[in-house]
Amino acid sequence: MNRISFTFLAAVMFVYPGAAHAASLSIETDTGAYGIGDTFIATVRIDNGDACINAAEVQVEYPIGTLRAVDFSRGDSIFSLWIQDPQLDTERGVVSFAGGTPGGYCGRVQGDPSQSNILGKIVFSVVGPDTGTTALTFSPASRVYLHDGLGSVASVEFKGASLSVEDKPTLTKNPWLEAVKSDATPPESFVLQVRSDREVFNGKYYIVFSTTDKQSGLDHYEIAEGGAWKRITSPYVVKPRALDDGVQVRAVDKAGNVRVGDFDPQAIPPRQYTYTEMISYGLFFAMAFVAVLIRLYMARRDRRARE
Amino acid sequence: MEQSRNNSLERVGERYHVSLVVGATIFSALLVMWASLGLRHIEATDVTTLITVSICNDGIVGAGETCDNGLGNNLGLYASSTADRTCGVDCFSYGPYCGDGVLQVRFGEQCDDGNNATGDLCTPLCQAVPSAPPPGSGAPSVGSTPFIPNATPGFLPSDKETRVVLRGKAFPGSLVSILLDGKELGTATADSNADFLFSTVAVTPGTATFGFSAKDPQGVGSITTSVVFEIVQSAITTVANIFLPPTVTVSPLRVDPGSLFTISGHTVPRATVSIDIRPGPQQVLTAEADARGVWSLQVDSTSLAKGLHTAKASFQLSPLVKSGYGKAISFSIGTDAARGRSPDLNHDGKVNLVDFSIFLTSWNTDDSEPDFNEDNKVNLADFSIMLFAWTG
Repeated sequence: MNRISFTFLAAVMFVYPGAAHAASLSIETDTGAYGIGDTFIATVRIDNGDACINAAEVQVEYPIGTLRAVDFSRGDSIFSLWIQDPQLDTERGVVSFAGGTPGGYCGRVQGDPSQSNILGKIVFSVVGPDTGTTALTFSPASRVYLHDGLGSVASVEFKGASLSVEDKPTLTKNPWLEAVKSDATPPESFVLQVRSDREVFNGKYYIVFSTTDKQSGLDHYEIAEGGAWKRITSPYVVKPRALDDGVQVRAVDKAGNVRVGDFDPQAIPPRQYTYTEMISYGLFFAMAFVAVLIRLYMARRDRRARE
Repeated sequence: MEQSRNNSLERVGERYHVSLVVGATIFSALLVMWASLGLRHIEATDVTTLITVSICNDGIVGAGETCDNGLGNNLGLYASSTADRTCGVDCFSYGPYCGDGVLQVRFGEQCDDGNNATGDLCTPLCQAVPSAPPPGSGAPSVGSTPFIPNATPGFLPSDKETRVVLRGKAFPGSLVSILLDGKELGTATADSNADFLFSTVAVTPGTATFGFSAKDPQGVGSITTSVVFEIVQSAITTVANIFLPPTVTVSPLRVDPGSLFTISGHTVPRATVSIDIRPGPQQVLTAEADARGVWSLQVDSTSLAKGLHTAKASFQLSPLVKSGYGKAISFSIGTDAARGRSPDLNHDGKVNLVDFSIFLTSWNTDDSEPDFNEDNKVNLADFSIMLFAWTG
């Protein structure tokens, strides 16, 4: 009986691995051999396996005795919405980001000239002092979500990258600087949407915006306020007077190219008041009405007294 | 003797037992393999693998292309023979040429009989062969194709234009919304065969995500189908075989046990619709769409257990024209239908950037409204549900 159980289990284990193709996260570097002083790009890619996926949160861990994450590029990413902007934690040696793609990602399309499966690119500088063989790995906390409308977590295989580090530079050029220098294209055009919703920011006017940059990647957004450009994120609360003057928001990519968002003053919706505001205004008008009635009553009484 | 007999019987029994074990192992392996293949098949149908990309101007005749002579050579200029014909700027047709069967007087053709052969009434260079006119007739005929004075041979040639052409099937007469990186890019109207075509130059080279959705004549929205690919500079990138899954409506949503209920929707005309009910019968149910793309199926609820179920559908017109599964619609047998929280946070009928911005204000909190999966935390699972419902 034990024999039967064992052989059945063995058969299952033998057959099952080929039956379903899980999603995988991988890190790709060009040569994998670097020296102290080099800067290189590690590309984080996704293979969706047999199912469509639509979101992921990724944490890449690196040895702080050898490397330092210096930048992150969203150029060429399949993500168009970033729920968590890329964060470089140089003390713990962790690069984290989370984003998604509306409609889901179902894999490379036949005939596509590129793999089109990049989530992001991490720029590393080799700082030392440690040398030898090291690795870039995914934290087990990294997650990929299926495009199933249920928020299901996909089964994911992690494929890190192995690096060999020498004590002298091996690269003649800085590939990240080259990529940034060659980017003369501004971010994609975008529209500023003005909103007022009772449940959001107490009905105050706010703007929403989003765009992408296909080359070096989007860096940040800025708004013109008080005669200067100030960094902001979407959504952003604006003053009604700013709307009258015309809101200016621009997207800036890693190369410094800018694109100013389109703003239509005619598309400003009516302000939505909160219930508290409506009660306050109602009380004010009611009290004003009562005051007028009292004044009229007193005037009539005085007139009668004079008669 | 008895001992020996017993030992012999034990050996026979053991051999029989070993055979049984081997047989059971092979049988179980085959069973698991069969089940696994079935599982793969079900999962694979969710993936839109039929979509193809072809790059005009790369010198390779890709899927859906008729020709491709490479960058700078797809000019669609007139050629004096079939052998010398040049590819058009869209790579879907050749430029005009002698032998294409179309009389092009502006290029000096006197006739075009569709070949460059000698010995017939039209020379290899599309000049009429002089012949003795029959008694009483006028000049010889030079062809029957009407001449359109202002017609131009295809698009104006341009080897610097970066263009994306998108082709697919939705529902007859439906307005297809097209998203680029989650934002509205434009619309295309599907014809009576449900075919739509969209072309744009409002693109930048690089990786792009295009999304497609449509509403059927009943106002039921489809799932947003998306495709990710690289837009090539100075080329026409054509994406074909974008097939929107059928829309699904279940009526009533709360089914009395033992009664009939209807699953219906819209899809490509005369397509076969596969309906997947979970949990439900093992076999996939099918229905045929009519000439207007309407399909309907009555289901006996006695074959389904009490409780919540979902129904989703895909279509197949031919082995190469088929969709993945679309939106799963929930319904219940004998219980109240579940009503999940909607990602349309501002209740404007759309799930777009505004809802995403509202969602961000509740990120990593325990707010109830954006907690779509009701796990008491607004996290990436809720974000994934929002992306699934995205309309742009």
